Amino acid sequence: MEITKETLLEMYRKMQLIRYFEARTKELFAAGKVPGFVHLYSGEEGIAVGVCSALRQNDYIGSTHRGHGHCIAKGGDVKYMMAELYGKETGYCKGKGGSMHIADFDLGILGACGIVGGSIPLSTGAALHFKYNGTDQVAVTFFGDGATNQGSFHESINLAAIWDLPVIFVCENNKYAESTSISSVMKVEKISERASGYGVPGITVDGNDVIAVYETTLEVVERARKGKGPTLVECVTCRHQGHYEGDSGTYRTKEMVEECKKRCPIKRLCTFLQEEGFSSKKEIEDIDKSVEKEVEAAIEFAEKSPWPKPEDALTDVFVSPYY
Amino acid sequence: MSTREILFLEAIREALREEMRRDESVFLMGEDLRIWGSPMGQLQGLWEEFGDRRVLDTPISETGFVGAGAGAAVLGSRPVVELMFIDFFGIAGDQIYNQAPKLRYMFGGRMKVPLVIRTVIGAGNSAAAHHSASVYSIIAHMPGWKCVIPSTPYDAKGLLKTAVRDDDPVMYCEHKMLVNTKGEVPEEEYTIPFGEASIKREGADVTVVALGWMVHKTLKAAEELSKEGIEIEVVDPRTIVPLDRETIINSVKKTGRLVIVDEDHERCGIGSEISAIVSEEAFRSLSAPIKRVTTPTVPIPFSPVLENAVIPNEERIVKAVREVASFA
Amino acid sequence: MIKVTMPKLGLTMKEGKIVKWHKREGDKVNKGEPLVEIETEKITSVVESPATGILNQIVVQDDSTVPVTETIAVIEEMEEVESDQGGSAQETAGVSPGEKIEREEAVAVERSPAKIRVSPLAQKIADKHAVDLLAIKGTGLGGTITKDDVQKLVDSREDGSPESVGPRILEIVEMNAPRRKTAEKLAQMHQETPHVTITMPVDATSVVEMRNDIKEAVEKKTGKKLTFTHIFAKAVSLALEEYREINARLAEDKIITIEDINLGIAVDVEKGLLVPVVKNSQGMNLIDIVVKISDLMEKARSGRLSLDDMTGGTFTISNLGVYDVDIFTPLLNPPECSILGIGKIFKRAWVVGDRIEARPIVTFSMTFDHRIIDGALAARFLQRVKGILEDPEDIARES
Repeated sequence: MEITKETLLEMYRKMQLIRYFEARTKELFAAGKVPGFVHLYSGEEGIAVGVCSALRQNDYIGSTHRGHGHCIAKGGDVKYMMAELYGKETGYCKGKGGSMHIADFDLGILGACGIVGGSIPLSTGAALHFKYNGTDQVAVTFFGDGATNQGSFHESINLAAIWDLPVIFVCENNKYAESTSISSVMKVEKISERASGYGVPGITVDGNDVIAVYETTLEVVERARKGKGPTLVECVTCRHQGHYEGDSGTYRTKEMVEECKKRCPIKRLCTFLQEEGFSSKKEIEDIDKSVEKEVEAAIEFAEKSPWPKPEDALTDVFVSPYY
Repeated sequence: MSTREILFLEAIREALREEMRRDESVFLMGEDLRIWGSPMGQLQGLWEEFGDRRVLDTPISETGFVGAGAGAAVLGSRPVVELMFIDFFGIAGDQIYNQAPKLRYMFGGRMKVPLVIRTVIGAGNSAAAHHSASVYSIIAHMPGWKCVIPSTPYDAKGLLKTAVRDDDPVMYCEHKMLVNTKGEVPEEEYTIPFGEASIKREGADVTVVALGWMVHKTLKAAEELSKEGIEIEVVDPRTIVPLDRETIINSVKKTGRLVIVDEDHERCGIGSEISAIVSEEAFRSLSAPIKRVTTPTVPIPFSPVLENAVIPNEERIVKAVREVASFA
Repeated sequence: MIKVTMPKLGLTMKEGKIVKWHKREGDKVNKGEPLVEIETEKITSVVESPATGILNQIVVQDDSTVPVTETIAVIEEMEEVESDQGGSAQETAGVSPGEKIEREEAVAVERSPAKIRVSPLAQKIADKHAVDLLAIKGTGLGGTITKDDVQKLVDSREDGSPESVGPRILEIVEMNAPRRKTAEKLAQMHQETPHVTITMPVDATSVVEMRNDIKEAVEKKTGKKLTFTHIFAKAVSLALEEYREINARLAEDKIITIEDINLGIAVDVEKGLLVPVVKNSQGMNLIDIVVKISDLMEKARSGRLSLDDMTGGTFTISNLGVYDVDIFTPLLNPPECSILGIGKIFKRAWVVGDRIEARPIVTFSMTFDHRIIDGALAARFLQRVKGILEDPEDIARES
């Protein structure tokens, strides 16, 4: 399997874009610019980028409360994302969704979701739509370790299994369901073991190795496109921040977080690219600069964008007028 | 327009058959659809005609298949999902409350959710507390659902065809006591728009708003009341979201008196909603307090004696109308 | 186009039945991959594809019977194809996960990197030092071979330290299926069975004398040469008749004592180790044993042993004396619970009474499953064998 330099650098760019977007979001949240809940994706970039790099634009992803990374990885424009985080009219959802509800159907983004496990049935339904129409598109549903204790996970993977739906169940196992260590809420060692309960293959992969995630996804997506059904892919990772901004994080020691940061998927790829001769230091630096510029421009766009009109709160409930 | 008499359940079947023939993106999904044609036989013959691809039998897994229906709908399919009884909505609670009806709004109107959930409502045959509810008021309370409660085969067919063609989530409620009733239905194709009430009987003295099975009980009560010289106007809203406020208010303006007959629980039910709307918008037209004839807010009991005690009946309707009519 | 014909799988095979095609029409297939399962009166065999290409046509369908050499399928030959069943024949970095998924449906699997990928720098170093990348397991992202991976190999070559230099490989041969099966069985048995080996020297003076006395007569009578193995086998058989507990096996939590004494005799032939079995040796005199064992040995050397000849053993004798071995620790031959190793008979300074004499001595090494045989029991049994051999008149008279 050859990965071109372009693919590698693009993966690096997207991971870096997520990281920088999240870093700035953290600051903007602290500064009171971004209202509401914010769940940052920092540290888990290898998964969103590895998975989405293996998809086509017309494949769909369903996302989670920690969804900024998925959106950017699938090609989301940080300008409209940031405007949405601000609650501005120019945001992806005209300010009606915010951090946890961003969708862009043109890019195959089915939408993020504030309910743990809530979007799994929807992505499964997207796969049903593909199968019903005989296309070779696939759906990917992202969810965390905690969501695998939800009935929606169980029901959806079973449905996908019996109907051989083209959907990939990507579990981002960051080892903590909010503040609760998964070891206290599940008995299995590996979440991928749960797949056997549904007659579905289960794979565990290092979520901080973007290339491994990418290649695994290519394989299971190919399988799904051929009508061979779903796969559960467990990507083991860790988050650099708390569950949400404002989480004291006392359930993890400082050492644990430091250890986690050492395994940073971006740092690993960056070192790998340079030390192994895939790219020069200058190429990396150029990407870093462009990413910074892109996010700063997005913030400026969000700042300058108008607020939605209060009366717009009553539109978009239905396709037909508000009742 | 030539008509013939068919069963309510045949009307449902006809509506779906016509819509499935017309539109390839319509498919059926739910428990026991193929062999049984759904538990009361509404869908019999559709699997034979449309095959496995368009009639999907699901596991008993409401969260999974209701959510999958919504997911398929946002991409352009038009799934008609069967929730066997409305009592089961809680099993798919997150998909029914948080997902299907909120998607369009959350995402700023960037998507449509043309999902229909067909479900069975109502008491009347001792199905007890898990198979007898009429909690459509809960659905109406949630932002994003349209809600249909037909009372005749004619309404059932026309409204179901509209539901399938509608671009928003629709909860379509079939009353179990009506499924085997007969009524005149045109041979020709027709649809009935949402939000248009049907006046099932005209009268000048008291407006009675009734839904589903209650329409039939009210019409019987009307005969009784007519003998006493009280002529009631029976208004069947047919859809509670959207609700035809105008027809209700105009009728109340004519009669000055309002009784609401609703099989749903009394507390925070659609009866309370209609009552509030009329007091807000037609206060000066009222000559008497509004009265509700509803099911008390208790689980539906099993024993026929107990069930009869809670479900509105003709006696209670007659009594309520008399009280309202005689208020001076 | 390559025609696949119904193969003749045995001397007497005239026709074969297609049990199951492993490939469907249009499937890609690699030479050597399982293609079709064929059944004769005796056996079911998997026939491998004779060529690489596309399975163009299946001429004979499942459950049909056709004469040998009849065409059963046609393969359109192609260069290397990716098989539909998974990895291509060239894959070296383990099984492709695609294939893994196929076979281990519903089992949680660890992913292994699918194919070899190498970083640009690693490639450069490898080219310079003529490193075979196939032999390296990549440690970089996604299993990529990194410059360190290659450098490590190159460095180890250059300092020439024996610890770090991998030995040069002459050839690699895949174990055949029976060999693999034996290997697995032995490894498993060895790990799971608490086994003990005890040794005991035996004065073979009388045995040697006896053999000299009767060997001509025996040869005359049977046409076979009398060997020490024959005599030892007879002695063991006699001892086993007295020590039934040794002629036993363990089945879960039950000890099964076996009535028949079936002696396995280990023999080394060109293809490896075989253990033909002398059935019901308890009823045999020395002559019978000589004839039986000689027959089995001949069959073993000429590859004519039947499955029946090689199964059902209750105790094995392994004689390495011919190779000058003295003491060794034979491995149990499951499900048997004991095995007797016999060393070379050679003269030693032996204390007889108070004098030192040169006596022919042979050492017995007996390995047994300690779960069902205690050390003392095994020792008494060996003592009994020894006793018979040091006073072999009974054996001689019988003949």
